[in-house]
Amino acid sequence: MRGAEVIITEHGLIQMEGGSAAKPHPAEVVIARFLARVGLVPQQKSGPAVTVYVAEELLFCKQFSLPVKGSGVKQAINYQLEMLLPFPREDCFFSYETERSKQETGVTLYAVPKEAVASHLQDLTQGGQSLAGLFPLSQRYLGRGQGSKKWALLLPGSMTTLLTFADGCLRRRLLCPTPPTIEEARELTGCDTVYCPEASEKSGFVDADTLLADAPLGKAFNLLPASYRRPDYFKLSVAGLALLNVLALILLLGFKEYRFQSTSSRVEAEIAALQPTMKKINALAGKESRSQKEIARLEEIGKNPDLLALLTNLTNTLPPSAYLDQLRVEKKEAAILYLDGYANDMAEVSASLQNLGEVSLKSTSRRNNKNYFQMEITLP
Amino acid sequence: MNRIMEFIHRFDRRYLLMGVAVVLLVANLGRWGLGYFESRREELADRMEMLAQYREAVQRLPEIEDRVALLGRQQQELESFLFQGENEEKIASAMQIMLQSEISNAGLEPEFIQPLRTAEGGDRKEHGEIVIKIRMSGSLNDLGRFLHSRYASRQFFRIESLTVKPFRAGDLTISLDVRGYYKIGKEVGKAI
Repeated sequence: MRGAEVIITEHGLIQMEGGSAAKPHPAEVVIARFLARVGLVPQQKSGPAVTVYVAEELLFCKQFSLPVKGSGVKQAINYQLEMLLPFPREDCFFSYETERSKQETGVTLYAVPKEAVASHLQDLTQGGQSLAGLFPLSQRYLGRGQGSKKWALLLPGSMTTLLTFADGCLRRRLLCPTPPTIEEARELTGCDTVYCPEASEKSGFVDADTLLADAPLGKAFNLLPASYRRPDYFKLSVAGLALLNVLALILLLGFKEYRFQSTSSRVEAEIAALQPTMKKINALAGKESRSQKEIARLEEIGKNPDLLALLTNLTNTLPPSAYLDQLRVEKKEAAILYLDGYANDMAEVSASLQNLGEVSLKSTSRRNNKNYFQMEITLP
Repeated sequence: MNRIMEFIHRFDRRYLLMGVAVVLLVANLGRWGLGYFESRREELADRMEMLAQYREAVQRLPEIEDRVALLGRQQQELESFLFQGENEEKIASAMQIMLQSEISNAGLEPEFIQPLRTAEGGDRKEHGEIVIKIRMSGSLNDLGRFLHSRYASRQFFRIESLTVKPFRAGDLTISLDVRGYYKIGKEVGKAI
């Protein structure tokens, strides 16, 4: 959708009809009022925005190359501007576009003397209109519809201008002393399609008004100085939103940090309150462990065999014909009773001592006309 | 690719590099910030886990106190069977005196009572044991009385070995190895 358009020619202003999007968006109006109220931008008349185009014959255009790249281009152009322009720098509005190639940077420079346009711009602003931009007339026909196609535009006037576009950018600008025919235009530009405003069907040119169906790109060669431009509320709102986002992020982080700190301090306070009790519990646990070890050690000592009962049993169970020469009890892993003595009948002795424990006869021999025995009994 | 390069070429290389640097910086700051918050969150989670353990332990305090008290009583009961004294030498002496007294009271005649002490820093250990070798003579009834008095005594001697041999008519030669247990500490008074 195209907004209001004005063309500045040698003969004065031409208001173009059909500008239906002159009114700014309500949201934009609200933002503008808000910013003006808080003092961020000066109070302005909320008039409709108008895009101003300058006829090509009023413009000075120069295409050249610079053997520099990147940030050096701007510096180099500013340095050479006085030499490139046919009028003093401070007396003109200018704009340029650059295109990098492998070795150098191509520059297209447009300039217009202030005296040719300033009065018209002043009339427009005093009439309550805000200026959306000041472009060469050729930019009026450059919309998104052409895409990356290569095409040409013939603009008639006191000096006919033949412009070649490709990839949505101005590639070449030729001034023709006489209007070229379609064949000449095709040959000069290398394009099959050459547009021309108000072209007749017989001429072979395509009517350039068909290009006006799309909104103009309005990006390149804006000659309007910053002092004439209306504030870019979109950028301001984006910056405001970014600022709000940062503030929201800081608030979120602050809230998170506050919650973390409050939880952490509560936990630390509770831990500190429980520390004395925990020390007591640890001490008790240590004491419990030591006691358990000590009790286990004392219980390992075990108990003595009941020697009185053993001696009584032994006296009762030993056959009357047998008697002992030596008795020895040793307590190692188990209590073992060693008996040395004399007996008439070894079988009787063995049988009678079975109830004391596990009997094992180690040796027998003949002494003093009796059986001398050595016996080992593992006590239960 | 050409379009991308063309798009890139529209911008000033300095601003492009600056933009990339800013994006990288923001990404790094974000990563650092996330790591910082994550580590703090983990730290807090650890502390909260510790607090939960503390609360659980505090709830079990009465139970632990009861258990420790019971174990203390058991330990005290078991230690009451041990000899107590300032050092091993004094305890060995007390053991000999006690055994000498019990042997004599039983009617046995002691030939020797010899403690075998461990040489290596016995005094420094809180708990220890002393082996005592005894040789005596007497009747079987005297031995029975001695054993009875030994079993009836509160202080514990573990009988390692007992050897009984006839000596002369009615008399026996008795060799006894006992192991006494002690605890270094303040004398209770009743023990020695």
